[in-house]
Amino acid sequence: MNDNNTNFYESRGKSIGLLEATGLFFKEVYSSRYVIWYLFKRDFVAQFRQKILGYFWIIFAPFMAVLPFIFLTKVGIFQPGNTNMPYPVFIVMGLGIWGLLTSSFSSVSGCLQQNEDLIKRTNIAKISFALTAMAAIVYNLLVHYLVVLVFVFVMGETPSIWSILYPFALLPILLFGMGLGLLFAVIGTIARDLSNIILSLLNLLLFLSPVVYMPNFSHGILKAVVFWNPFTYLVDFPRSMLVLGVFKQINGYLFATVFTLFLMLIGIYSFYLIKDRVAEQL
Amino acid sequence: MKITLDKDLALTINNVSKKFGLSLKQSMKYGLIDNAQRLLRKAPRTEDLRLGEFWALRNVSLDLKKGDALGVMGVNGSGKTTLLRLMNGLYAPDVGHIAIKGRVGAMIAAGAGFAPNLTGRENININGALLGMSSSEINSVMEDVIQFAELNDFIDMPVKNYSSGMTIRLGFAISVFSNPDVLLMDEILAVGDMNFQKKCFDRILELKTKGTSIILVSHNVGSIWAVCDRAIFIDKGMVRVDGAVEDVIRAYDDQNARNALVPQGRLNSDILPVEYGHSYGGTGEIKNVKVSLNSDDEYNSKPELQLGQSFNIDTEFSLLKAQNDLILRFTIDAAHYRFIATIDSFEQGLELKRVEPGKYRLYVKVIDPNFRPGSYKVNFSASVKQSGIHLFYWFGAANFLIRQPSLKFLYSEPNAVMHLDGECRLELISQS
Repeated sequence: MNDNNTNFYESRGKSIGLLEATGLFFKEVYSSRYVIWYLFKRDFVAQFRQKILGYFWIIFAPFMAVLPFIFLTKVGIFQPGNTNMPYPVFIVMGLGIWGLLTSSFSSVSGCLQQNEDLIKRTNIAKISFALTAMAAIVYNLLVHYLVVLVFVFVMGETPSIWSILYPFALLPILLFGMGLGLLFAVIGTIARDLSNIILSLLNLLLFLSPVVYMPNFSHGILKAVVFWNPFTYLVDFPRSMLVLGVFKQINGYLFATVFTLFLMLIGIYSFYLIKDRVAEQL
Repeated sequence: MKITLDKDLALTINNVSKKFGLSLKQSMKYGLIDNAQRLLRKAPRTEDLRLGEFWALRNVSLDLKKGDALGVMGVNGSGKTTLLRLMNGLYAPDVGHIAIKGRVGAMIAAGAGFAPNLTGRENININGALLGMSSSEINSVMEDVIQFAELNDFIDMPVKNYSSGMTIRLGFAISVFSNPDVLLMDEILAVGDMNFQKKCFDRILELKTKGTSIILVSHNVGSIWAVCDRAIFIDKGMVRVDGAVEDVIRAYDDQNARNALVPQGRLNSDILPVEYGHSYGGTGEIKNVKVSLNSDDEYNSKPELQLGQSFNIDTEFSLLKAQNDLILRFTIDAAHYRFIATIDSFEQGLELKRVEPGKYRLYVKVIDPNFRPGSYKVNFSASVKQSGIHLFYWFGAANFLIRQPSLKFLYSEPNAVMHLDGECRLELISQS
């Protein structure tokens, strides 16, 4: 774009730097705000129309996911370790948070493939699709927040005063999923199974993170992996803050947050470096 | 690179080329390599073809002034849609650059993003946003769109219950009310019934008079004629003609006719089907047939003739068994009609009472034919007078093309195949 009014398309494209890509990201997010809103609204409303349980699916689905783990723990097959809180609360929150990570990654990494028709027919900013996907995840985050508050009460616990910061404490893990998703969104339009490979690897990390149990390993390498695993902090910190009212491993959480922001920048940068060829790759 | 677009221009395309991979495997390989290079901030070389790639567009350059309308014609696969997608910024050029000024409304986006479970009104909001309109702009044209699409009673019904015509009308209406500076249209004017089509044309022309530049890709000669001031004809990714609409339509018609031609040649098969229903067959007494067609003034591999130009059908064959009262016949097929004309040896006075085995060459001169512009096929057969059985038949043995002679033929009935010379006169019977 050389002036406000002229679109310019050239063969090699302009080679942009990290700062310019970040600036472009915020500029396009602002200029595409109507598109993002209407696409979010379209997908959101269309998702729940013509379903018997309608909006209740948002609440219903996570509970269905944790039932097997609660059953296995109750019958003594599964030993989650010292969770410092009722296990149902631990796992509902853990799987809920993990679900936000994987859904933000898969939604963003698959956003271009999902919108193939629109990308081939309209010249709207490609980042709009990622933001539309994230808008749905933010909505899920708010629902998760409400469900968790109610569930903690039902389980006889009282959420701490810090629970008001819980949604904000979850933003880093959402951004982690988004940053990683942006890294693979464009490449994923060429090699379509790439996102699934990453998602499978991510799901392996679930068992090295405090999601369904406390990973207290004595083995040196496993212990190091858990220590350096950012999800150790990104999952456990918000959960402990809400239920126990403590800022558990705050340094680890802050480092993980800084790492997440770095990943996000890399994701944005790589997305803007290669996004121009998306339509022809789909 | 700093580009300034002349203030009178809405669009400039400078030496643009675009390539694609022929196979998915190679596209994937090159896509991964190119993206890896871009991620390393090393722009890949896009100017050359790699193994398994082809140029979908090559060295295209053109300008379009504000308020002008450009028609784009070409046969299927010529590169029209690729050009439109490049102009809309959907594809990035591999060579050259494109600058386009103002809001671009793309009819290829008509109906894009429609959610079947949402109402027509909700979909106007979505599609309007996708076309770059703000909420207030969408609200300001909402009633106009509903009126234009003739969906007053149905606008709050889910789009999935619309007929295909209603959906297309709605998509079209949103596009033309998005007030674009440049409107890109791909074969879209054949929408709805005749009254709606008329309304579409009126709206397009209204936009044009208000200063919207229009690019219309169409196979429909009438649409190009009605809307465009100028046109280009694209063939195999290259602009072959850039000029008056009439010149482009003529080139397009000729190319269409040319593509309908089948290659002419020799029939060498030793085994001929002995029944009908094939493209060739016979009793086996005539073999090694070769049919070619040429005009008097030139002998070329492209059998392209002017209107009314005489031509020769030159046939070689081997006769394996002596025949009495042999008749050698040619029939002509037009693109949509069979056996529209015939010429045979007996009718023309060449009586073949007794023909001994041997290799022969038959010359037939067709004098002052009245075929209209288009493509034609020549069929060849050999039979004997006493029986109706074909010693040999070959449908589509040769073909020829009659080129568009002048502008007046472009306006005529496209299905007609024979031209009649005559005199026309209009007399006033009474003044009304």
